[in-house]
Amino acid sequence: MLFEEDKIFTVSEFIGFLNEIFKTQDVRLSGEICELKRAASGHVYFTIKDKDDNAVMDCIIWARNYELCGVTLEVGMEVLLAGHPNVYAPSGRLSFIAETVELVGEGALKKAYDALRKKLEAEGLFAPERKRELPEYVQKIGVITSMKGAVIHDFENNLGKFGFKVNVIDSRVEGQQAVMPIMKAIECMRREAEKGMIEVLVIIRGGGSLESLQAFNNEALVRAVSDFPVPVIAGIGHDKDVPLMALAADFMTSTPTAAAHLLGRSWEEAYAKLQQVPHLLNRIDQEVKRLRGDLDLARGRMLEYIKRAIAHAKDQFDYAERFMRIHDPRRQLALGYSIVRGSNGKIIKSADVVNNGDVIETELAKGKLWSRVNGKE
Amino acid sequence: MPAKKESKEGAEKESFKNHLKEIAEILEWFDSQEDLDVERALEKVKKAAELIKTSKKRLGEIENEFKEIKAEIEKD
Repeated sequence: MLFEEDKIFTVSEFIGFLNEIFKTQDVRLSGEICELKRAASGHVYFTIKDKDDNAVMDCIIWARNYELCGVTLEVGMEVLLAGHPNVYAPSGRLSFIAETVELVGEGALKKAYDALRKKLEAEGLFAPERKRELPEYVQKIGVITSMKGAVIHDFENNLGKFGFKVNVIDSRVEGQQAVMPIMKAIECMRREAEKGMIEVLVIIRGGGSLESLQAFNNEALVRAVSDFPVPVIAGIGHDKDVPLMALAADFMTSTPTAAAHLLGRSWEEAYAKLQQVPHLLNRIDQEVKRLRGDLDLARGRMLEYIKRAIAHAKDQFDYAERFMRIHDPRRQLALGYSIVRGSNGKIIKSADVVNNGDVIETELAKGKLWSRVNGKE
Repeated sequence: MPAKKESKEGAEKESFKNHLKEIAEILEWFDSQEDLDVERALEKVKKAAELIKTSKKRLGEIENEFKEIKAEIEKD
């Protein structure tokens, strides 16, 4: 910042001038907390000092940033701050305005990780019954990752060509300073999800140490993932301590490639089913042919049965006709035989039942005769 | 009226069946006679002739129906 050489500042102007310069500085500062006070407003005022000499620095972290950092500060803790210096005009005191605060050393981080994991587990945040299924045939995907590096390329190259619409938000993913950008990205994606613009959220980054993955063990971010309106896939590389965000997500994959494959799974399955369609159609065709054969057989048998029944009935009538013709008494008369009846009308079958002088009736094929008996033997 | 038609068809089927039964009874009657009663024989012959005539007519109709159905089925 330039100023006129002869310019005379007021105190207030000079402090304002300094603060403008300080604001542009991105300073990382480490030290041990020797004093600490949390105001009713939630802002935290603390002092850090070097281990080896007596240099001290007053520090402030505003309530929102403090809560977002997910660290509970205590006297004696060694911390790493990111922020910038600032002069407080009314007192002229220099303070360090910390935007993020993180614990220093794997031991402290591990301790904080274990404590938070235990707490969130007890709340049921990682419970299997909370996990949601991925919708089938996902098309609209939200991705939060860093556009630097191979991760996003690995993801996109393995996503498959199923017409996905991918909305990527580029975010810092390294260290504690990634907390705020990731939180902003999640909030943005939440609005997209609520508008139906994404069906699933994917958060990916490559592997790293506990220190570099700090943001993914941040309580506020873990809760934001847990409450996200659509299913979340976390593809966050790690060594042994699974990032808490991955535990809270609906799906956890070890690599961005695996996350991409997971999204393509229902499409791959549908494709495999389509491949089976010709085989299924062939089977249906064979079944139809078999049924048609059975029907033809049944039809043939039925027709044959009726044909035989009709022929049998015909035979029966023919036989009955022949039988009646033979047994018809009129046939006997036509052959020259006659029927002789007595005066009582009964057929005379023996000479014993008539006497000389009786009148008898003789029925011929044509007409009748009445005669008187003149003799008998 | 379908119900009436069905009832008529049912009656026809029933009478066809009865005719066959009656004819069989008449044949049995002839077989069982040792001493032929000419008058009754004549009556039976007349009755049988009538039944045979009616039944043959009905059988002819059935045969025609069957031929039609067969032709219809074999067309598919």
